Amino acid sequence: MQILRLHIENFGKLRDFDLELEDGLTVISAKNGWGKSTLAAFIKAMFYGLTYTTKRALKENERKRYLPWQGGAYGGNMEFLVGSKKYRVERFFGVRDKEDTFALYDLNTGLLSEDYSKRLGEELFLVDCAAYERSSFFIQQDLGTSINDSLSAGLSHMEKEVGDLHNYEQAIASLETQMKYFQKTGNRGLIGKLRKERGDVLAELSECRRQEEAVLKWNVQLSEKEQELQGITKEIEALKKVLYKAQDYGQMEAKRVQYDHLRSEAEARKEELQKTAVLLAEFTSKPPKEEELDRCREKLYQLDGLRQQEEYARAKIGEASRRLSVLEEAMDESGPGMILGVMAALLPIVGGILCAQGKGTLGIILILAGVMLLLVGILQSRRHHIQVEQQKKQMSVEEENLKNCEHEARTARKNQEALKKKICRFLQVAEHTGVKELEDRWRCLREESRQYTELKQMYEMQRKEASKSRELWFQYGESLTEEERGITIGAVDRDQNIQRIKIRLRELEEQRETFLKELQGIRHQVAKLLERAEQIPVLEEEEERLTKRLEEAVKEHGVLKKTMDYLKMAREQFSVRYVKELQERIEEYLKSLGIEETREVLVDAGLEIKVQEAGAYRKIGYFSAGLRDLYAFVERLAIVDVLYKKEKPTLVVDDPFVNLDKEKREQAEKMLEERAKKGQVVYFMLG
Amino acid sequence: MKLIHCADLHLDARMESGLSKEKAIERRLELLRTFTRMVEQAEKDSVEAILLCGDLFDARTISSRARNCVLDAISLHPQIIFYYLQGNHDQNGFLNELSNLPENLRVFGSDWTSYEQGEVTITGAEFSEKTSEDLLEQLTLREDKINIVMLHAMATEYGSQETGEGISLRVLRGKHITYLALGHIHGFRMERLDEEGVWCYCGCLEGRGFDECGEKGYVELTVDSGKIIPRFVPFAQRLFHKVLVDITGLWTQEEIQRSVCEALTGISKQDMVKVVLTGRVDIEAEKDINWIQKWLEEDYYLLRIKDETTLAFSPEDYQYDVSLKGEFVRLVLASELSENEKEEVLRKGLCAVMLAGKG
Repeated sequence: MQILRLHIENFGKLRDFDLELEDGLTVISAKNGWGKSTLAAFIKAMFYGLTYTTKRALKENERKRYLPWQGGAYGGNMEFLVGSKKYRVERFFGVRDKEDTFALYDLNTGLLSEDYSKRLGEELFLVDCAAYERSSFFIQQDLGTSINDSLSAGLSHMEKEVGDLHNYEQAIASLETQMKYFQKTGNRGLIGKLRKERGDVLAELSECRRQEEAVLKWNVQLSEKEQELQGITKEIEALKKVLYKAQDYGQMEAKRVQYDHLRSEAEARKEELQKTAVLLAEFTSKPPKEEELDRCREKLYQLDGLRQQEEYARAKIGEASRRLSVLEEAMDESGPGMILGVMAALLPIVGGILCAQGKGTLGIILILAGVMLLLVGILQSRRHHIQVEQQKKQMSVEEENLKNCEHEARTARKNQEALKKKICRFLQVAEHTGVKELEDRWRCLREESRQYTELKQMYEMQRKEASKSRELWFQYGESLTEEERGITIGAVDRDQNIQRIKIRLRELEEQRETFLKELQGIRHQVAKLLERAEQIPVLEEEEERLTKRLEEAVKEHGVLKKTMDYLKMAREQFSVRYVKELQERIEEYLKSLGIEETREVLVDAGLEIKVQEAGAYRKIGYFSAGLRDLYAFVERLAIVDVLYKKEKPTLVVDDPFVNLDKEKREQAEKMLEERAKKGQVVYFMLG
Repeated sequence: MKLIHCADLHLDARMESGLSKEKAIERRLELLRTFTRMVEQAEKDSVEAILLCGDLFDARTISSRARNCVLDAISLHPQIIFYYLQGNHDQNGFLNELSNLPENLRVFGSDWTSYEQGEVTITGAEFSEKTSEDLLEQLTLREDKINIVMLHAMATEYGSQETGEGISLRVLRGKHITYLALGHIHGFRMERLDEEGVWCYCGCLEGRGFDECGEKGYVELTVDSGKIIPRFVPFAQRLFHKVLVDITGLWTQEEIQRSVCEALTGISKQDMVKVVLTGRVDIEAEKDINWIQKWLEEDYYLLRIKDETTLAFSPEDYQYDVSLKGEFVRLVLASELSENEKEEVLRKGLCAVMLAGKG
């Protein structure tokens, strides 16, 4: 590859700048601040473009660093020759890489070329931008200082130039440190710690699971034992029942007798009930109710009362008639005064006689008696008159009374007839039936009714009793077992059976006790085991956490290990790829200088150059400043030869020979001229 | 009438979210508490029955705390009928250990068992070795009833050859199912079964890992006018969140942290969060996930950072790189390592070399 000419529109301090380059060596005399670095950066930018980065440091941010000082279009173009084809690349840059423009023209046709993309540098040189930058721009200061630095840092100048190999040891150390965090010798480190913790948890978990298994087994056993216990308990209960029944055989018999008794009683009651029912059935028609008969009885009484009322009325009529006759007769009789008058008249006469006969006293007495009788007679007459008046009044009353009595007798008679008619209808007899017959008929019906009622009541009572008796019989029957209803064991057999049952019961009771103790033990054991088993979820979580952390740690460690392995492999491969060729090139250049024919050069796997001196390989820092610069320059040329397999880049060399003496400088310049025959070189000399 | 459909409580289960030992224990207790809270809520809402559609427990052994907690919840709420259908995780003999079942606990077997709950008929069967292969075909329900069918299985269109692995929705169509209450899947999902009914996974009550993100709870069933109206009720005490944060193009730790913070906006501090960093990140970008973890972990009940970013890396950039780095990249890219391993090895190697270069 050969750069023909370039035009910088604006790039850093360079503006509207044109430069034509010769094939081979172009020597430019320039002062400090001319813009050599800017020119080198422009050439790089034409091939590789400018990377976009957010880094603010100007040194690391080329896009910012080379922003045109005076503004204007940022970029330019460059014509170059590859083989026989001429191209012109045009690049202009924006603030961001997206704003950049790129165009490649085939100058033979004048048309846009697609021979290369905007990754022109990589495609042309097969080397990335960083490597190009490191290898195609030679600055003396860099050479000198880098050697000095490399001495102090223990890194070779060569390593730095060929890339980041000097970072290798530090990167490996960093990875080893990280790996040691995970795993150290003696099973230390995070992985060891996690493995141990996980192991502990797993052991604990295993123990808990064992306990859980044991719990499950115990539970099965518990369940079986409980079932067996239930079986034993059932058997005990059944045997106890049998024993009880056997022991209470008499009672069982009594129960059966009672049962039979109740049955016969129920049957007897039923029979009685049936008899009563037959008697009741004999009543073709239902007799009147007693209440109705009682009301009929009252009516009969009323009839009798009416009859008596009539009789009484009739008697009163007779009495009144008689009294009326007496009154009429009394009215016809003279009063008692007459007799008394007569007597009163006679007595004084007699008295006077007697007085006259000398019997004065007696005569006087008779005269006084006659006077007395006279007085009495007068009184009697008066009273008789009054009596007559009274009798007249009484007769009038009696006549009225007689009329009333006759009316009363008629009314009673009429009522009697109406009532009797009703009674006859009720008693279902002819109307002409006499009262006595009515009475008889009533009594007969009353008796029938009483009998019917009594039968009915008796029937009801018997029905209830029969029902109750039957109920009792059934209930009692239900409370009895088949065995109790039909017990037929003989006394001897029974006793033997009881003995057998008792023995079996004792055995079973003992078994049950043993079972209960075992069960209690198992339950206690299960409860204890369960406490541990309940820890399973907690331990599983812990195990999961630790496993996850361990997996992550192992994975991380594995990745670090692989990273380290690949880094080592990369280093070896990198070294192998370049070391041998690099050594050959350096030796060629040194031979061409003709100053180091007797010395052997060694490039180690770290791409560090060592030169044999006094029987030992020594780092180039061991030599004088002039030799160091010379070795460094030779290394760079060799590196360019090694790196660029296809097209060689244009080398921009910024006076690297200031430290050389005249002889060596001439030799070096001669070597540069020779090198320029292989590839274009721009050589800046301090003007 | 109201009922609750819940499932997959997995009481006593281990936590799979990477919680610390203490928080995992606390979380297990929270699972129990959420169950009892649900029963208390059921009491407040006058719920008549709770349908437990499998996997009430998780392990072969149950802690006495979990057993007593469940038994107490059942016995202290005699007015609520608990229908407990065992799932594939309920292999713990919880029922076998009970000498007497609580009066308000109804259980199922490997054949269809039906119970009447008011106007609703609740039918269920458990999948076990004893389960008949044509169990689903055997299901017969009355057309004039409101039918709830309980199952614990994976519902698919055609089912699975292996018994218990899956149930065929095709077979269950036209069988007069009003509501097919399912358990096994830990997220809420409801779809129409046929013209008469729907099938529904209520999901679990609480998530147990970052594979169970989002709202968790139960389904409240309101039976009204011969219909069932299902409503998902979010009930979990804490939620799991997986938050993807694309940090492509970000260079500094500050930018990445800001981006993570923005993505976490609106998430409760009581929740469990997994931040997954994604995108293509430059090899030179400042990215320290340990620092982000430290910086945020105290703000949430659980916070985990996972780096799933890839290197913003172009192999072409190193094609002509004459350096250890270039040699290393070419060597790794040409190696037989897996793509992930290549990425990891490149990341580590380049970082080591470049950091060494920076001194």
